[in-house]
Amino acid sequence: MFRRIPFLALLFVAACATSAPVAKLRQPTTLPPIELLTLEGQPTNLTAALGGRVAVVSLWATWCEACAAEFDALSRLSERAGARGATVVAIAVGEKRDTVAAFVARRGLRYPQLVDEEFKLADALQQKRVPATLVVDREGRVTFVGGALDEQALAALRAALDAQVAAR
Amino acid sequence: MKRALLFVALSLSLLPAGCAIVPQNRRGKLADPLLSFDEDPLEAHKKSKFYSTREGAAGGDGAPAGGGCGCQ
Amino acid sequence: MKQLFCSLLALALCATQARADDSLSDEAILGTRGGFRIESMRLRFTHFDQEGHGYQSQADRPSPSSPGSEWLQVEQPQLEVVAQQGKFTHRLWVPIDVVSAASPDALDAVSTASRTNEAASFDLSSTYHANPVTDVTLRAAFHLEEPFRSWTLGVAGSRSFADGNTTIAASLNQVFDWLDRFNLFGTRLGRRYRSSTNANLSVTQLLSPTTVGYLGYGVTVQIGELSNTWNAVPLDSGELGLEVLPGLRHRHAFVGRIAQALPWKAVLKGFYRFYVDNWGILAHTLEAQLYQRLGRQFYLRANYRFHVQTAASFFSLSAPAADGALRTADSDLAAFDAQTVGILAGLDLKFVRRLQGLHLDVGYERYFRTNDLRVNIYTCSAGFRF
Repeated sequence: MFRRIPFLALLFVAACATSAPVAKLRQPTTLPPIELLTLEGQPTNLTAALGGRVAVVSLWATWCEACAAEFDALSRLSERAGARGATVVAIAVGEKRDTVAAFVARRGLRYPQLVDEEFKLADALQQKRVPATLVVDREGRVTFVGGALDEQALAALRAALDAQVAAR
Repeated sequence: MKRALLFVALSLSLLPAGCAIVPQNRRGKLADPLLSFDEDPLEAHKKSKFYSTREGAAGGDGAPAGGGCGCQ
Repeated sequence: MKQLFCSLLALALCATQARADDSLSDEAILGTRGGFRIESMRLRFTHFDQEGHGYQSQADRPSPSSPGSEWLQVEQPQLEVVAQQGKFTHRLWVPIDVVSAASPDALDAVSTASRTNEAASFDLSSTYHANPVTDVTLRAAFHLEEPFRSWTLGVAGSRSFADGNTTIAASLNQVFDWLDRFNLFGTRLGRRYRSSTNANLSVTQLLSPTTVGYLGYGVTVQIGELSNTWNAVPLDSGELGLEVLPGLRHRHAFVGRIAQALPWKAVLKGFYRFYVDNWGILAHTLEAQLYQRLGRQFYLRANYRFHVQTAASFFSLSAPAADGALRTADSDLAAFDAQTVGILAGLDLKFVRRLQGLHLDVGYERYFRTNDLRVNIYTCSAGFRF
């Protein structure tokens, strides 16, 4: 009897690990016109918030420690990218607007914030992780999708800015 | 006793039919540290040392059952 | 001329671009990474106040064949420091036990020299985060106690599957002890050795957005001197004899846990363990913990534990006096029920001055057994995250 238990335990684990396939992420090319909220509760959408600028979009959540680890980096990026006409927009996913607003006020986050209460934008962009980092060019096309803000995301941002300069 | 254990083991092997894959961005409630099984290692040691030195049955929690101190 | 002007303009634009790129460089935005950084420090202090009777003690016996007083107080400070270094997490843990007892060891049969016993451990582990789903840990520990020494080496690994929904962990530990051998009268008879080899396998599974489950199995094989060497056993002749234990013990434990987030900002945790060994002990342990958050920072916890075990097959309070026959009267190896009830209050503050987090808690538990043992446990803790 005891010899069967390890086998049954492995069967349980294998079944749980494969019981539903993880969706393969497909990089979208355009921003979907999904309604978001500002911290003040005003409806808007991401395209309007970006205003035709090159942007780094960060999906995050108040409960996510890895997201909190990049707040300082996003603040620095927001200041420096702003000097070059780009912007950083953070979108809190899956939480109530007032919860996010209170958290942003407590932490003193100064870069633009939007709220996706029902995961509508996150699901449309097929992003199921936080933090997630996207780089959007001036035409509103997503040119990079990644996890936490890292060297690859910054390289994609620099490439998008270079492309903007070349196009002028 | 053996049949009961076999029943429990078989039931557990059928649980996968109900296992949900929880996307990482939906784990807000699971991120609560109170939900973690490894909440406080110092309290875990306090409990583990206390019970293993006063009860003949110990182990299964990742630490050796017995040895390591002059307390059996 | 026009071409020269355009070339100069292009060069100027490139220079401006280069300076701007510096402001968006990886170092400027992400900062420097790696290096050694202390991430957290925790302190816990626990006071144990025990009373009862058992044959592990010879103190304050009403008669030579009676169990002795198990009165005991333990002061247990613990310190843990966790540091990050690139892909490594290092953990240093130092638990100390200061035991004041009626009879902490057989030396008290002839003197009170060891009414206070000190013990300390130094435990260092390093975890390598190979990738986001795989960790490997190496551990080394040393335990120092009168009259006992212990060395531990361990290796552990964990891997996540299905985007972190399933985590499998395994560990292997080897403990080697040496201890002074004493008889009933406090006479030192030399040195004895003990080896404990332990392996564990577990799986943690997210069962829903609010539920986590855990299954684990641990096996420990011990060989060598498995007694503290001076335990007494009442014999059928009316005298006391030395405890005689087998030189081999293999122990199996199966553990199931569940944690459920409740809608009213509470968490309920359940725990069950089934234990069996080759000494004839079979045990069931059930435990429940209920956490209730009061506001964002404060929480209360109530816990209850029930444990029932059978006796070792050679347990006896009137053992045959035959030489070499296995025998024990150690109350820890007897058949009994044990219950624990407890309460704890905790406070978690985030971003307090320069600290990322501050944790405080204070708690009390009461442990009582059907075979004459009762313990009051008082604990408090402070934790700092940097």
